[in-house]
Amino acid sequence: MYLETLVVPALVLVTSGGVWLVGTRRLGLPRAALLPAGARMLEAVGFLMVFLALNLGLGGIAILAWRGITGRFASLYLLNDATLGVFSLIQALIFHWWWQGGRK
Amino acid sequence: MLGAEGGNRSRALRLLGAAGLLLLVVGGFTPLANVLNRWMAGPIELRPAQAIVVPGRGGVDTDAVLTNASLRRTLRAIALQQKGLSPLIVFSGADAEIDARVLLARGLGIAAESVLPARGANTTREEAALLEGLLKPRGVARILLVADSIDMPRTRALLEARGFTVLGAQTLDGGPSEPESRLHLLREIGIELAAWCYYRVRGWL
Repeated sequence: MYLETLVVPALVLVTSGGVWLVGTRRLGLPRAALLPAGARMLEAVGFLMVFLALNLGLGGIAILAWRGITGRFASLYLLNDATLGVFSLIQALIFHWWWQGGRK
Repeated sequence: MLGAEGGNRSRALRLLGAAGLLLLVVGGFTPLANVLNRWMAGPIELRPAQAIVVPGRGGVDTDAVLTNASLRRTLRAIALQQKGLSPLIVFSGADAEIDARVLLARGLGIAAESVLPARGANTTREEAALLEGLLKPRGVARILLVADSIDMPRTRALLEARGFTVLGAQTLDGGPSEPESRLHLLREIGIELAAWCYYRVRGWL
């Protein structure tokens, strides 16, 4: 592994440690609440995976259907776009918060 | 009952999320993508052939400049031709991509009669059919295939199915070393594997 690869993870570890200190000592946040927060983060990432799969699946079907129906070409590579991931993340976060609110 | 279902759903989501994060870490911070990339490419066989075939990849940007991947392939093909590995370079892809490639090749000293544009194909499968129609009448059976490593298996299989002997001359053998580029490569590998599966399901491979 190149040393440069470790720069970003190291940076994230440092800021995470800093936020832990600020959260527990300055803001008085309960330490026990960190684990459930991590679990909710995993749920949000899980929703991201679901929305990404939905968007990619539906997009692929739509493009193939377009080709079949119109006889005109549309590339499946249209789906190879990072913005799809960003929008899927937004969908996932909104849905996750909605889901959380509905469960209370 | 609803609570138990909600709990199961939460657990499933967390597992899925953990799998996603694991993929992010392993994909970005280990050489997994590089290993897959190299494995998919197969061996590089730089030996004389009757034609150097350069499939389309990404086309051109709006200012008619070749995309990174397309440019990389084009330059590699030109270098191989200049090494004397083949008298002919065949460029396929979208019209604008072919035009830009031909212009670049001519600008770098490749003779006009050494460049053959293969126009009219939109997909890899169509490219293979088009190349068969163009090259077989010229007696070309042995080709050097210049493509990205991840594109090699499907393109090679399609061309071999049409009777060509394919020598691998892929670009980017090792792959990137930065996390973001590795994740991008992993995404491309995923797309290519999906395309491979689709072609298998359709009976094209």
